[in-house]
Amino acid sequence: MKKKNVNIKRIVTKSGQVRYYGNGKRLKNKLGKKKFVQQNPNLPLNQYTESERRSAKALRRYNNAWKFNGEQVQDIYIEVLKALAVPLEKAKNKDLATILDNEGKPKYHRFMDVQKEIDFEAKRNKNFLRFLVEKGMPNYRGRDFETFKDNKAKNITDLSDILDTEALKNYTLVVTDPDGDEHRGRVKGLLAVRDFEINIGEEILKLHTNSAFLRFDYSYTLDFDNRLMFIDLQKTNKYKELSDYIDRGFDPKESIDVNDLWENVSLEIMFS
Amino acid sequence: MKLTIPRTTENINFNIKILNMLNVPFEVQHGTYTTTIITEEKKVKYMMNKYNNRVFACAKIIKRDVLKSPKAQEIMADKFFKINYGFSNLVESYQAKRVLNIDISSAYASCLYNNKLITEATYQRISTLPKVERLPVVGMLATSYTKFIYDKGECIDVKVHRAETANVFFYLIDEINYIMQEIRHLLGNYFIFYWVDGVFFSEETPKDKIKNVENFLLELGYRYKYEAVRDFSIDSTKKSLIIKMNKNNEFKQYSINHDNVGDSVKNYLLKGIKQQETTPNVTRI
Repeated sequence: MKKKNVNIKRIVTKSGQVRYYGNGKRLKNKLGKKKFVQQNPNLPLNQYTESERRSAKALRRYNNAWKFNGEQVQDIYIEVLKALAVPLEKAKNKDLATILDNEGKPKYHRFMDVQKEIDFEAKRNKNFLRFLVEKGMPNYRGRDFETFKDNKAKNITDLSDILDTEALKNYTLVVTDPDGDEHRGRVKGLLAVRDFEINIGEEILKLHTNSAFLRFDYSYTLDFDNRLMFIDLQKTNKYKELSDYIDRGFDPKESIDVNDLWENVSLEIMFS
Repeated sequence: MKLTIPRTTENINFNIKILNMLNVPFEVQHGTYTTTIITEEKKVKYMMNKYNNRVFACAKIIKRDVLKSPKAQEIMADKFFKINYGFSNLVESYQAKRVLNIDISSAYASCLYNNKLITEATYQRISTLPKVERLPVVGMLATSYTKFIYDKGECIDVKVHRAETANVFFYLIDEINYIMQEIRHLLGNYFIFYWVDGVFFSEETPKDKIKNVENFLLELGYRYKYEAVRDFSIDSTKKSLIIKMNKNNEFKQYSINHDNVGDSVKNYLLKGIKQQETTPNVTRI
């Protein structure tokens, strides 16, 4: 059964208290305020109590905002949809769910369809992706068209991939191993990195039998003139050991970030 | 013949040295936790820890199903971001004595099944595994390693191997993320936070909004469960998010660095694999 619209009356007592009544019955303040503002959305702001004014402003903001099935949508989505030339003018009451496609069916069945359309374009259009990142689109922080960014490689496989990219395939990898020996060339350099990872894994197992998760992060520097890519696996301080990080009474529920032990490697360890 | 040996530099170098001396062609497959030396006659696996065969067997069945699925073929040919998002960024600090929490049950297995990427029998098989094993079997869709190829006593080339099904793994992450974003939208201002396959929202959320979320999940074929969450807090700084809660009477803490936010989900899933190697009963990251 549909509820009847109850006319809400607001009464201010002599002591300044605000009370709301509907059908002659006193309503709880929160409900009364909400209903009163809904019924009187266009009063001049000075005719509301302070608390009503906040509600009235929020209601006006809501009424002016874009929505999807009545739920507010962040402004940035509208900006992005404009960039995608979505016919926003076809929306009724500024609700994206009312936009119809050429066959007269809703263009977006669910809100996530909006996100999917944006992602679809971003995966194919470098400029559009850049636009999303610059605009601060939710979920696009730090995204990059390429897998690798900021001269960082997440593991040896990424590193091998980087060396095969168009941009860097003519670069020579120069890896300095923990003993200070230099390994030049893709194969020799990657062999040095492989041995480094095996060594570290072994060292960690000696320190803690329950190794759960390791993640190596390699940063590299580029010498553009000589087409060289450098990775230094030496320690930053020869008196520091991996055990210094693991033995210092870590909380087993948190990961250990070893980010200053080696020149160009950081390591995340999590023990089970 | 297949052998499994503890992974140490000494063990591996000894084997490589012998094979080089014998001028035998061989291959060294190197992953973060496992190094495998393969010759024509045998395969020697050097592992940091032990894997459970049950996980491998199930992962193999998933892969078989995925490769047979027409939809998977489309996904494998498509492009996916390698940086994925497992939670809503722009999270504000928040504290509450009690919050509501809906977790999707077997989210990734359900996603595989709902998208016709695996058969019902495979879905049932995954469902019988404990959570710590369900995550790795899916994560194995994105296995990668580096192959070092040796011939005539020296390493002559390095090749990268990425599982052909890796995109399916990224597709699953995206799909669950879309679902979480839809729930976020349905909850409006009552939404607090989501992490991978669980969403946290205010205890004051109106019933109709909660019903909308439930109907949405059921419509897409996802089962869900409510978890009791107390003493919930999010400490959001420019650098990181620290989430603390008491979930089902167990204290949990997640620390997420904003710089690596895109990797969080991927790592969450892959961490499952690593944890499985040593402690099959670990249920948290």
